[in-house]
Amino acid sequence: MHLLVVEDEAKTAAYLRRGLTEHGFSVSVATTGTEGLHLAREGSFDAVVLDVMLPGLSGWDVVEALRNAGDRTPLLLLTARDAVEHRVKGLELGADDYLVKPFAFSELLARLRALLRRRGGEETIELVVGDLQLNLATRRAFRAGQRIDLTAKEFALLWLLMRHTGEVQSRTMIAEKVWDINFDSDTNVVEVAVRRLRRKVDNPFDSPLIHTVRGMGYVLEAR
Amino acid sequence: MSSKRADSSSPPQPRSRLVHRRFSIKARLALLFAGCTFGVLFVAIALLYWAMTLSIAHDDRRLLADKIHVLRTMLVQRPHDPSLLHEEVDWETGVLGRARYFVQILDLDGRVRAETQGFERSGIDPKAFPKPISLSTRDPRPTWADTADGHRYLLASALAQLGTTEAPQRVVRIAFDVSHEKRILSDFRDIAALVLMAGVVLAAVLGIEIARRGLRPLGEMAQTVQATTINQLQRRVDASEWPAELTQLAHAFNRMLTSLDEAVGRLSRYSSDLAHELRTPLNNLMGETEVILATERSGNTYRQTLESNLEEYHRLWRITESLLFIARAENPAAHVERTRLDLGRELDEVIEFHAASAAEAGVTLLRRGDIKLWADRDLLRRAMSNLLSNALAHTPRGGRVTVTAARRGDEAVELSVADTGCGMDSAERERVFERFYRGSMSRTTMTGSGLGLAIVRTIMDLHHGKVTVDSAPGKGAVFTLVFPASV
Repeated sequence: MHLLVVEDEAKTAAYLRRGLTEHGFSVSVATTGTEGLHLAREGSFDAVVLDVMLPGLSGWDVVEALRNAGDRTPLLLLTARDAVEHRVKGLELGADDYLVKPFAFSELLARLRALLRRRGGEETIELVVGDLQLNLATRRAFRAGQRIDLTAKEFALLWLLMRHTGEVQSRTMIAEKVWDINFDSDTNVVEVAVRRLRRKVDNPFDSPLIHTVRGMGYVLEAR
Repeated sequence: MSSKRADSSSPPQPRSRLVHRRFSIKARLALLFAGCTFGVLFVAIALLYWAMTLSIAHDDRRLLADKIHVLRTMLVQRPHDPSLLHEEVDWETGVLGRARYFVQILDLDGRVRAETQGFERSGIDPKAFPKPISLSTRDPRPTWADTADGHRYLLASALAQLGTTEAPQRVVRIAFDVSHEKRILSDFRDIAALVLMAGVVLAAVLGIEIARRGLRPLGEMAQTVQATTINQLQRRVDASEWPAELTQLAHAFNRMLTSLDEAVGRLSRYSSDLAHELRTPLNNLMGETEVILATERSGNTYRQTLESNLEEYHRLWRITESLLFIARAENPAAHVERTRLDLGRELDEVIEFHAASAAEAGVTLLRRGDIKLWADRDLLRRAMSNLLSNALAHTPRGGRVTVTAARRGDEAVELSVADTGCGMDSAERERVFERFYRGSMSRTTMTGSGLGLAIVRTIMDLHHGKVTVDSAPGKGAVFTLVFPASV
């Protein structure tokens, strides 16, 4: 997967390149809007991460230029201002998603993957990680052949973690996707919910599947 | 481009400053007074002058008419005795010391038959006399003429009978010296001008003095305002002896000072609280990083430090996010997107979000009521979620948190969250919605940013509603959101 990052802030560009490379992307970096637009037109990228505040052409200008030229490459905007108009403007111009700075890197990864998947568009009914099985149609969970009883929200939480096996899910993202809570809730609700899920999914078995990534969130994978 | 534009716009500035110059109230009042006085005096004097000239002219006419009558009678009764004429005129002249009038008698061909002494010397132009009035006319219809030596004469002429003739035989001319009248009128004009000038000056001075007295409270107020700095907002204007018009202004100003004082107090408390809130995570970050960097350590230790740092960064991020939310909402242009909400469902979803925490804490969560409400969905959920986590944090094991939705009156909707926790006293109740305020009896002191309830209040402000709290120590607390009836 080839990504273009257009970002003029050197530190941001450096950690984005490093982080994204380490997660299996190949990354090109442009530091001005003009250069970014040029690269986006020349190369064939799978997605573009674009800062709004850029010297020369702004991120919005780049989005507009690309979309007017009929380019459908997924675009994700990074913005430091979260005024509603500011956020909406990028989407109206044709960007696919946006993140407000400061953002968690795990969130950027998740959104990028979602954008790239959106293009693929295959949907699964059953997920399997190690000896854990989850069926969306029957809404049943099995581990090592044993049936696990889950509440609706526990099921949704486990589905989210399994759907993104190996990807860290931040507390904010979990609250948003499982409970439709689109704000910083200022509570330990997600920790409590994950703790209760672990009691059912991990505690009775030898090897845990749900891991805490300190300071970032949770990841489900067979280690 | 922009610098060029700035250059071209700089020259007209002095001119516009002149245009904006304003007269002081004192100067305006003085001008107004002077103007009014001038007008009133001018009209009064002009009327007096007019009346005076009228009266003088009337007297003159009557006198002329009398003289004409006497002369006519004389010519009828003693047609050939001109000495009588001299007697008559000279007697009067002798009494008055100088010739007040001259008489000339001509025949119809214009030859002088008799005249008083000094007529020639007076320098009156004979052509200046008006056309003689007929025998039947008594009104003298005078004209006037100025002579070279500065005298003014009223001139009249009349036809007269001689003896018993039916037709007129003579023309009588009378020149009446009115120089003293001219002088009186000119003196009057001089005095009037003086009075007018003095009056105007006096009025202006009085105007300035009256304005000064009237405006004295304003000056005092200006002094108070000037002396009011951000550090002295406790000052107030003493308006007890001021006129009614200005006490209103003084009260308004005092009210403004009070609210400014409160706002500045809140703001300074808020910024010191904010600095304090930021200081703790920053201190952790700096200290921890310095200690770890001081010596060589294992990769695992570095990892743990970075993880700990990340937690602190999250804390900082949450504080800025919440503050930005409140600041954005305080912007008057901020708006909410209201939709028709099924409160039962919304509340259940928020309660479900907190259900696990409540179960862990051994607290029962209940909901009552199911009605419809126009509100911003995300904001409503955020407010309810904040109230619930606040209630859960203050309720001991075995307690109960009840969420109730009810309609009050016709349209207003009340949403309340009641807990069976430790409650709070009146001092705490007052401050509970302030940013960074944390109750002393909080069960878990470290969770929460201290902004949750401030955000609730902000959300209710956005909905033009309000949030209230009812509580007493040991009696639990009831937080109530009131959504107004009309949207």
